[in-house]
Amino acid sequence: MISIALILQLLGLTLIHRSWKQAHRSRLINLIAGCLLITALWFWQQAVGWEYGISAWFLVVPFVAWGFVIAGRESRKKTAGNHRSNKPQLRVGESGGGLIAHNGGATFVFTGLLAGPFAFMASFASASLLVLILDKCIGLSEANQLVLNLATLLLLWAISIFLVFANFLRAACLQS
Amino acid sequence: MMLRLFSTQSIKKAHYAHKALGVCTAALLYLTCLTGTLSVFFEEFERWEQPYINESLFYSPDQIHQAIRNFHKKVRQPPKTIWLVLPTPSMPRMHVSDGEHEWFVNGDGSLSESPAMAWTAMLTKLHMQLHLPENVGFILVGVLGVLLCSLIISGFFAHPNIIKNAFHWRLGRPVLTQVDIHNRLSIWALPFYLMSALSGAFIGLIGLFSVVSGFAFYGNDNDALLAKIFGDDPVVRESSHNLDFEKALNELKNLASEAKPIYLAIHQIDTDQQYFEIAATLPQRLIYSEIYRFQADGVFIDKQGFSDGEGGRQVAYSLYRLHFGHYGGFVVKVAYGLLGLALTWTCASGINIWLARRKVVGPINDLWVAVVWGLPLALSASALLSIFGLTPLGFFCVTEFLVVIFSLGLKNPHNSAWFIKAALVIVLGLIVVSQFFLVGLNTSVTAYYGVSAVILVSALLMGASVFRQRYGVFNSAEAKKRLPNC
Repeated sequence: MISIALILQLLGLTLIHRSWKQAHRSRLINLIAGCLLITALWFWQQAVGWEYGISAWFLVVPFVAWGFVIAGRESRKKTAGNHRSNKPQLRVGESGGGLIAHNGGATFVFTGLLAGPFAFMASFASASLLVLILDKCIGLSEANQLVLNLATLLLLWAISIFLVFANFLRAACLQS
Repeated sequence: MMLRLFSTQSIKKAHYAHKALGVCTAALLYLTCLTGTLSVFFEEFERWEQPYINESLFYSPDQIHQAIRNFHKKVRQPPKTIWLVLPTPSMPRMHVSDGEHEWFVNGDGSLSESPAMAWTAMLTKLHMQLHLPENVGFILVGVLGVLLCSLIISGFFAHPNIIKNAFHWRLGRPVLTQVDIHNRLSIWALPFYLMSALSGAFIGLIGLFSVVSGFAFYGNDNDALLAKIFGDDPVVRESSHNLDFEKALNELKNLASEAKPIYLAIHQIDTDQQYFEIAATLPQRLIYSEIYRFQADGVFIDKQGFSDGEGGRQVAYSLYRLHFGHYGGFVVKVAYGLLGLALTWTCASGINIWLARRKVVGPINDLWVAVVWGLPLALSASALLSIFGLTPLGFFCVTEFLVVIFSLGLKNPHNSAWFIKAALVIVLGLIVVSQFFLVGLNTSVTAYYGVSAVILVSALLMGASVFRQRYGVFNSAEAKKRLPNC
C-alpha cells in the first residue's frame, strides 16, 4: 500500500512538473495529477490510518518536489540573458540604515510593541465570538470550544500581526 | 478579491511586512528552528550522552515493584507521585522519578545512575523556553510561533509568482540563487512550516490562553479550564496499599490489546486515595498516549479519553507528537530533521537576501554571521564540554558572546564566517574523538554509534566546504564580490 501511495505521489508530481514547465499549463494534465495525488492520500490512509497517512502525504511532497527542483536547476549561462545585475555594490563601513532605521526606528518599535498586545486582544475577542456563534448554531462541547478558540486565536493573531505590519506600521514609518 | 490580494500595492505592503517581521525576529527564530531541529532527536542524544546505561525492551511487574521499593529507600521524603518510564524502541531504558530525583532501573529492579543528559536538557530547554523563567519562556516561544505563521502568510502574499515558479532554481548569481532556494524551500514545505508554527504556538501559548480565558470565562480558575480540555483526576475514596501492576497490565491487554505502555504514574502514594495510571500509545494515532487509570489493586477505573473523547481533547493531546515528529518511527524523525533544517536555512537565507540588497556592509552583517555560524559552534562547544562534566549552558553563552565579539572585531563577514566554520569543524571532530576516548567501543547502544557517525560526517562535509573555500575561491576576486554573508 505504501509503495503504491509513493508511486502515485511521484507520478502526480511528475505530471505537475511536466505541465508547469510548459508556457501554457495543461488543465487536463493538472487535473489528472491532482486526482493521482488525492488517490495517493487514500492509499496512505489504507496503509497507516488517516492521522499518519495525511502527515506522511505532506512529508513526502517536498522531498519529491525538491528532487525536481535540483534536477532542473539552471546554470549561470542559461540565466545570463536576464542580465539585471544582482551583485551587491558593497560600501564597507557605512552604518545600517535601511528598512527600519531610515523609516523611524522609534515609531517602528513603539507601534510594534503596542500593536502586538492589541492584536492579541482583538484576536481573542474575535475568536471567542466566532466560537460562541458556532456553539449557538451547532452546539460544541467545552473542550471543543476551548481548543477551537485557541486555534482560531492563533490564526487570527498571525493574520492581524501581518495586517498591522503591512498597513499601520508601514504607514507610520513612512510618515515619520 | 484575488486581484485585490495581488495588486501591486498589496504586494508592496506584504513585502514590507515580510521584511520587517523577518528582520525583527530573525535571530530568535533561527535559534528556535535550529534547536527545534536538533530536539527532534533528543532521545538519540540522551542515549549518546550516556552510552553505558543498560538497554532492554523487556520489563516485568516484579522489576517495577523492586524499582519502586528501591526508590523509596533512596529518597528522604516520601513522594506524592512516582513516574516509572517504561522502555520503548526509541528509548529502551527504564527510569523512575518523582520529579525531583531520577534514576535508571536495571533489569533486576536495582537503581543505576541518574540521567545526566546535561547537554540534551539544555538543548530542549533552549528550544522550549530559551532558558528564561518557565512562563515567560514558553510564552515568548509561542509568540515566535505566531510570528512565524505571520511570516509564512506575508511571504505567500509578497511573492505572487511563488507557485508559478515552484520548480525554478537559477544557479550562478549568488543573490538569485539564495532567493530561489529561499522560495523553493518555503513553498514546498509550507504545510510543514505552518504545522510546526501553529502546533508550537499552541503548546507555548496554552498557558497564557488558560490565564486569559480563565479570567474571562472561569472566574480566574485556570485549573478548571485545563481540566475541561485535558480531563479531571479520578475520585478514589478507598484504596489498597499494595499495588498490583500485573493485574493492571493484564487488564490493559484485555481493554486495548494493541496499546503499548510507555509510563506508569502512581498518585497519592500510601494514602487511601492511592491509584495509578498506565499511559499507552495506540497504533496509527498521533495522541501522546491514552491514559488508563487503575485502583491500587489493579481494578480498572476509567480512561482519560484522549483516544476517543471529544475532538478538542484529542487534537490538544496530538500536538506534541505532531510538532516533534515522534510518531511513525525513525524515518519520520529523519524527515522532520531535514524539513527543520530547511526551515532553519529559510530563516538564514531570508536575512542574507535582505543584507545583500541593502548594498551596505556594516555591523549587522557581522552580527548575522555570528548568529548563523556562532550558534551551531556554541551548541557544539557546549556539547564538547558537557562530555567532561562541565555545565553546558554557561559555555554556550560564553562561546556565542566570544563569537559575536570576534565577528564584530574582524569587520569582515566573509572571513568571520570562514573562521567560525573552521572552528566548528574542529569542535565537531573533538566531540567524536573525546567521546570515543571516554567510551570507546565498549557499548552496544546503537544511538551512540549513529550520533557519533552523523557528527563525524557533518564535520567532514563542513571541513571539505571550508577547505574548498580557503583554497578554491576564497582568494579569488569573484569570492570577494560574493554575498557579504554566509
